Amino acid sequence: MQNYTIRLRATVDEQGALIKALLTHPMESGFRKNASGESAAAHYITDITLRINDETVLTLLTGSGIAANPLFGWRIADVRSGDTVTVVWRDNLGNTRTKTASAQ
Amino acid sequence: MSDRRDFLVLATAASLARLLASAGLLASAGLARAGERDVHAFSAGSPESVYAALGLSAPVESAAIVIQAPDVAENGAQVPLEVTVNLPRVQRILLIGEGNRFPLLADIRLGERSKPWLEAKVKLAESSRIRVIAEADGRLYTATRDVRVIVGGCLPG
Repeated sequence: MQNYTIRLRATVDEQGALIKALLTHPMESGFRKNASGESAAAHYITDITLRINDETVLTLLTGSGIAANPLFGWRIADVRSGDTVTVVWRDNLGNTRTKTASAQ
Repeated sequence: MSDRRDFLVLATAASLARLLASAGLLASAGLARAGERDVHAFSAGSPESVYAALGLSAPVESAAIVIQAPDVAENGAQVPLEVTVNLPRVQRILLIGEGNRFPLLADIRLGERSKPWLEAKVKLAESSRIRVIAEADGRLYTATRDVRVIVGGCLPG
């Protein structure tokens, strides 16, 4: 069973918030072959959405060239302590995960 | 017989209406969601075909785009990037690994509250150039950075 977790942290500073998200995902390109020459099937995140409260502030469309278990950092203006930060990802196999955190 | 024909005509009209409705819906959804993922751009095999798929005009070289990355990356599968765009009204940032089989790494749409800064970890197949394209106030700017890769990020393993 694939482990998909999202670790999300939003730290408020004078400019807004620094948001860090660590997504557990294989980000398999479909090119890699194992010792017996079989390809691992392509399996990668295709899009990531960042929301503050209910406003979408950032959308990332991604390909298989993003690293496995990718770490992202973003900066968003006008974020206050207690605001709700949400990260949603979808992958090419139709899986999706959402994580919500409170800005600190 | 004629009942059957009427039924077929009706059925055809109904499915036509449904088709039109869904086409209309799709078209308006496409307009509303400018952040639609371009499959062709992500499966384009060269930087030039990425630009063609995205319909980009030639960007202008700009020192306002700062790319931080290691000069030498031990592991091409995990190359940390930090991109800062010192321009107003940045709406879009593209990350491109020029030596990769599929060069387009990410197409990022920034909302008004999003600062033109980001960190990401990417894969580089070989020592190559990372290109960042930023759209600011409707114009395209670009900068590059060379990264030497010791072990490629797309090797069998």
